[in-house]
Order: sequence, then structure tokens, then C-alpha cells
Amino acid sequence: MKDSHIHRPLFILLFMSAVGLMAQPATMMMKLTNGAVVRADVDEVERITFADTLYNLNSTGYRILEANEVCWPEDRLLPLFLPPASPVRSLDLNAASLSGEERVMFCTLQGIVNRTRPRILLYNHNEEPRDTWPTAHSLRTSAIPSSNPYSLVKLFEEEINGLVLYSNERTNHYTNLAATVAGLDRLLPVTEEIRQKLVANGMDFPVVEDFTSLTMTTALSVYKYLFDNYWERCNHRLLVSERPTIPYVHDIAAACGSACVWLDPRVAGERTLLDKMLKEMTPGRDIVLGWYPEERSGVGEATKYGLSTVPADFFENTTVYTAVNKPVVIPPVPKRPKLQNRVYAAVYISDGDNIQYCQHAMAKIFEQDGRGQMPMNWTISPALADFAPMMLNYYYRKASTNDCFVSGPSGLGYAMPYDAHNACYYAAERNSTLITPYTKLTQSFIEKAGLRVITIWDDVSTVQRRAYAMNCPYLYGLTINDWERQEGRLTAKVQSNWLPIVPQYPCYANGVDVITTFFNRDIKNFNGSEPMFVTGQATVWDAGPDKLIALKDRLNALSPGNVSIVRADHWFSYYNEAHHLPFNLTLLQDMAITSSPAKTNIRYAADGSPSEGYIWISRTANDTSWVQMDFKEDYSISRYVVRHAEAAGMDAELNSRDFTVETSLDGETWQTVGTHTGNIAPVTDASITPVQARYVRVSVTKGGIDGYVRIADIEVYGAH
Amino acid sequence: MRKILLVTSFFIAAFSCTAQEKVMNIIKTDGTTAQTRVADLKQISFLTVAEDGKGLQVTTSDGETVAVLFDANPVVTVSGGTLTVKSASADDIQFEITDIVEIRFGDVSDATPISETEGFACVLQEGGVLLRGIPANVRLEVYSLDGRSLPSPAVTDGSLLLNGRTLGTGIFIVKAGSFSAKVCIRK
Repeated sequence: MKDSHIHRPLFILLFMSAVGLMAQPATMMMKLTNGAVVRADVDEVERITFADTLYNLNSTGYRILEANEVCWPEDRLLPLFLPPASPVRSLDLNAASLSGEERVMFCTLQGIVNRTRPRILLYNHNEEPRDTWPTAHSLRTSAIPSSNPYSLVKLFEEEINGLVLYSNERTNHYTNLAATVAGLDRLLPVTEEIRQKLVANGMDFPVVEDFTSLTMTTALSVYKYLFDNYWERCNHRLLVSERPTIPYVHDIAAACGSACVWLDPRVAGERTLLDKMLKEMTPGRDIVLGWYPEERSGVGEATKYGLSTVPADFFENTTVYTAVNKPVVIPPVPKRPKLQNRVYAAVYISDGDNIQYCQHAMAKIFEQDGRGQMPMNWTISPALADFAPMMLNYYYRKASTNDCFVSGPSGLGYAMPYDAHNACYYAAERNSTLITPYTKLTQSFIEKAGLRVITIWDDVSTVQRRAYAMNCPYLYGLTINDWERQEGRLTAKVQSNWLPIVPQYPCYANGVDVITTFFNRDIKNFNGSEPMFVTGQATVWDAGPDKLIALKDRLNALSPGNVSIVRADHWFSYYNEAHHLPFNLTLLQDMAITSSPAKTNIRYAADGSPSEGYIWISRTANDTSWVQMDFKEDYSISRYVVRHAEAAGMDAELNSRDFTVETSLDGETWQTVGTHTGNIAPVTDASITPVQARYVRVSVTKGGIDGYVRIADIEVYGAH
Repeated sequence: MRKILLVTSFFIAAFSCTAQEKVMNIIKTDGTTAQTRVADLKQISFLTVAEDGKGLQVTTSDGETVAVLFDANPVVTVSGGTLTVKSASADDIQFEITDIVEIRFGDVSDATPISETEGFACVLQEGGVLLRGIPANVRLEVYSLDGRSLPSPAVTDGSLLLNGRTLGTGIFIVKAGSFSAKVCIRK
């Protein structure tokens, strides 16, 4: 014990303030220098000890991390890396005219180097301006001359143990095998031709593994060799399914020691081998990254094991962008007008589940004329909250109030609970055990990313619907796909009396004409006696904002003056109100809000944004603070949600501890419907016995550890 | 010791690229161990609402045990080979990491001394410091900072609660046998 040796005094200070007592398990919050916050129940910790370990240092003093030494909290899709160095060394692989095999080597080098600390940025496949994402991530770059790309390898040669030599003469799947082994042992995957280039550039690395003498000729035999010899050493949290000729995600694969495979589930032997890997992964935590030889069979195969796939074959620089680990800043959500007897239409833009689309094509399409002039609903991947939170922030910053982001299929990563084309449920017999962890994972990521609607591909069973309703309380609604592969149209359903699940009709339409025609099958029957709801999805490749904008006039022509095209969150809000289902009353334009003195804008208490910068903070410390909402009409209130400081990305110690929730019909007489003491959770989500009320008041008697009260956001759910 | 390690590391880095560092092992009740590099650790804090008697207990290789109740909002940081336990309104308690045998959590009100003849357990808690396990044959002495001997509060069943009521406010030195503690009590 320092300064308290047995013959030296022990320094202890006392303090005398009173505190209430309440039995509640203590939570240990371990904060790491890379931004990770790891929670653990102290009752689950037997003891903490310290030990010495040997490690490798590079010449600048960084500890060189091995693949099995990365920091990978259970609630993260990817490991947490240190923030990128400044500057990061950048290389334009296109300008350097590198071959596919060379790119695999450079991307593998990137992963190996960046897991210690991100220091390499590679430009590969660009539809967006090259500096879009480095700028969005506030990266300072220092370019490696494209005329001398191997100087980048030279810069980091001390972190490389040697080479894994392979040849693609028999099959190009050796590339994935070599890249897998390279990531595990800090090797560079090279062909003999590349090895000679390294030598010519003064780098005569030893060949640690030589696969050139292997005689396998098929994908199955190569990946069986991988499975038999290396799978146990690979992490089982992130499986990379990547066409061998595409180098981009070898970056993150190498960084965390993932197996890289390209197996086709339509081929029985390959499916069996893939299944061996998938079944050793954990539903609700782990994902497949990349793509498959065929979409439905591949995504469906992973779904059988409760795993989703994050499509990412052309996603670049994962190790750099995930390391800029900042909270997603969700802007305030616009309020909506009163429900009227009108046609409410919502239009979704497809393909946002694919993070390479989010990185490349979407960045370009987001600049098209037409965006912002009409409500459009952009599918986007909630996985970006881990892969590249600043990418979500980029879109949120650029978005107009007419741009609403929703989750691509079917939540956290692409899962296919039901395949309408092949008319089969995946893992139907184990739906409840597999869909539950998937929907729980989905909830945490849609909440982080601020996405209130999920577009399901294609449909969900009763058990699956129940799982979404049970585990995704952040949702306002789900959409499913009506491909017209059954008699009649799919009908909308409501799960658990609150979650609407409505068919996209049309789904994946290739133009405004199709959407107009489909919508008119309903709109032609509109008589103004009650609200009508239509919703459809456009394929982004054929109908971006520049074309979708024509819908305003086209739909208005169908029923002049009666059609409102709205955001998806508003659409579901109207839908629930019209169907006497609970909806978030704080979305109402008429809501009036008052509060005790605050440092920040009073409206921040219920503006739809929990993010720092949009939270309500009391003006003084240690006083009771309150926020009161007047919804101007009586509603049957059945649920409230209070988001605290931690939901805004702030320290958990700042969460409000003690508070009550009261309701009133007249603003004079109040009824307490919820009392919370000793809260340590970031979000309080309480369902209550329905009570008629026009007013709701949240009163905080004990705020955060500094005495101030922070309310990140309040939601109140009620129905007529 | 720490300085020697750093100098050694410098030469190791320059020539052999291997060195040694500390890792923290969190051993869980389910038998699993989570390992974190000490260099990666920013701080450990505890979210709780005054579990009566619950806290963390640091045991060192020289036989001492120091416990801090969770209701004192302890925050643990590690820097430069030193582990510091800071609690609300209190001075830091520092340990050389190399001296720490283990940190445990639980009911520290029952903390017993490692050595009944050489030390006793100090339980830092909101409202005072509780000294437990004071051997019956050990004479307890209390001094003011200027060295004046003060009336000693009574030890009951080997335990003594020092707070504003039993000792008044100020800074005091409490001695029991060969062990001493400097205690500051505020209003």
C-alpha cells in the first residue's frame, strides 16, 4: 500500500452528508482509455487481481496488439481501438494501380497495424468524394506517394512477423485462407510476385507459412483446411464472408482475427461447413460481415443460427472509422400536426442495410436534387453506431426535417425470418430462442442510432412479431414486404396492442409510376370519412430523391388536396392514433411544455432527441426539478419513457436517481403513476395501468452525482 | 521500482521489442476471467444506492486491508503503477499495484484484519470511518496534528466508529499498536 506502510499514516477523509439506504446490486463501471464503458454487476465479480504480462513494443512506444488481445466488450459488434493517430498515413490504392492480391495485402496490413492504433487509411472504391469520410471523422492524413506504395509497408515493417505465401493458381480461395492466417499471426498474405516486390523494396520478410504446396482445388477443401487448422484460433464473434477477390473488409478481419470464407449455402458440403462455424457463434452478440454467393440462401443460413449479416463487401477503413468512437447525435424530431381524414403516404428508400452503400452510393444519392423537398424515409444500418458512428452523424447533420432515417432489414443486420420467394421460415422450430436475442440486439442498436421503424425482409411469423414487440420498445412500427406471392394482399397486423406491422405495397418498386399505380389501388377508394394509410418502398438504384420528388404531384393528382406524404415516424404515429393504439404524445405539435428553471431550452426535455446538446438541464443543483407536458386533450396514458444523462452518452453517475411521474386531467389535481428511487439505468421505460390524463409531470428529487438534473428525453404514450 | 521498469522498457523497445506490463484480471463467480491491460484502464466507479455495509476491499501483500463502502462513491484510477481509490470529499488512498494481492466486493462491514497483531481494517463509509478488528490488547491513542493526546473514544467489540460525534471535526492521528491512520473529519 503506497503511503500507508504499516508504520506510516493512512490518509482517510470523512464526509458527513446523509444518504438514503436501499438494497440494490452495485454496478461496476469500468471506463477504458479507448472510450469503452464496461458494466458488471459486482455480485458477479469474485475478485480482481493484477499480474505481469509480456508484450511487444514498437519503436514509438505503442504496445503491439495481437489479434486475441483486442478490447472487445460484449455489447460491441467490433473491438474498440484507440482513437486514430494524427496524422494517419493514407494511400490511394486506385492511383497506385495495385492488383487485387496486393490490395488484400495492404488491407491486411491495415488491420494488423490499426488494431494497435489506427494509423493507416486506404482509399479503394469511391463513389463519394475521396475526402468525405476522412473529413467527417476529423482525420488528419499524410499521403504516401502512390508511385511508391510499398513505402507504407516499410513504415510499419517492425509490426509484421513475416509472410504467408500463397498461390491462386488452383483456386483463389487461398487468398481468404492466407488472409485469415495473416491476421492471426501478424503476417502479410503474399503471392510470390508480391514477395519479390517486397524484397525489391528492401523488405525480405521470412516466410512463416507456405501454402503454395497445398493441392486443394475447391472452396470446400480450402475452407475445410482453414476450419481444421485455424478456426479454433479465430475469434467466433465476427465471421467474414467475403469474395476472395474483394479486399476491403480484410482490414477488420485481420484486426480481430476473424476467419474469412466464401462458402455457398446452396452447395450441401459448403453449407455443412458454414453451419459448423455459425453454430459456434452467439446469437444476439455476433454477426456475419460481408456477403454471400447468393442473397437469400446466405442471409437465410445465418438467420437459422440467430445471426444477422451486415452487408459490407465494399466497406472501407472499418478499423479507422470504428475507432472514432463517439455517440450518435440524434437531432430533435419534428412535431406533427393533428390527425385528419386524409391519405397519409410514406415512401421508403431501399438498401440502407448495406453499410458499403451507406459509405459510397448513399453519400452520392443524398446529394441529389429533390431531397428535402418531400418527406422521404432512408433505410440505413443501425450497425453504423459501432462501425462508423460519425457516418450516422454525417447524415443526421445533412438531413432536412423531411429526411427520416429508418432501419434497413431487419434490424441490427440483415436477417431473413421469412423468405417470401421460397415461402419458408428460417429456423422456424427455434424461432423463439433465436429471434429473441436478435431482437434484443436490434433494440440496443436502433436506440443508439435513433431509428424508430424497421423494414423487415420479407415477413415475420406470430412468434417473431411477438419478439419484436417484446424486445424492441424503441420502435414505432415495422414494415414487411408484399411481393404479391399470395392470394390477395398481405394485411396489416398489430402486435401486443401497440406495434403496427404494415406491408410495403409496392416493395422494391423501380420507379414513381409503379408506386403511383400501387398507391392508387387504395387512394381511388378514399372518401374522406376516415384517414387512409399507404406505404411503399422504392429501389434506390432506380428511384432516388431526384425521381421520387415527382410523387408529390402524382399522388396529389390521384386525390387533389387529400394526400399528405409524411415521415415514417409520423406515419406510424398517425396510424396508431387513427387505430386507437398508443402513440408517443410528445410528437404532437400542440403539446405545451413547461418546467422549473433550466440551463437549456425547455423543449429539449421532450424533443425526440436524447443526445447531448439537446438535453434538459436544471439551472441549479440539489433542487427538485420538474417538466410538465400539456397534450391539450385527454388521452388514455399507458406508458412513459424517461431517458437520462447516460442515454445522451454522458457518465452514468449523472443519471437522475429519484423521480416521480404524475398525471392530471386539469393541471391542478395530480395522481402519481410512477415512483423511482435509486435509479442507475440510462432509460426508464414503464408501462402503467392506463389512466385518463391531459397533463403529465416528471419531478426529479435527486439528480445526478453533481446535483444537477438532466433529462435527455421524455416520451409519453397514450391513445384516444 | 516503477522508474526502473520504465528505463528498462526503453532499452527493450529499442533492441528487442518486448517488455512487461501489468494486466488486471477480473475473476468472475462463473469461473471466467476478463483481462484488461492496466494501461487501458481509465477508471472504475460504482453505481449504487447505499447498500448497507457493501463496498470494495483492497488487500495488500503486507497484510493490510482497506475497505471503502459503495455509498462513499469510490472511484478507482490507475496511473504510473499506482492504484488510487478516491471517494467523495475524501483524500486519496493509494497503493502500489505490485503490492495489491486482490480487490474484492461484498459486505465489508465484516472485514477482518489480515494480522490481528499488526493492523486493523479501516472501512471508509459515509458518515465516518469504521475501524474493525482492533485487538483487545492493543492500546488505542488519538492525537491532534500538533501532537496533543486526546481522550480516546471507547472501543466496542474491537470496533470503533470515528465521526464528528465521537471525535469532533478536524484532522487527527489515530494509533493502534504499530499502525496509525490520519483522519480528517469534516462537518
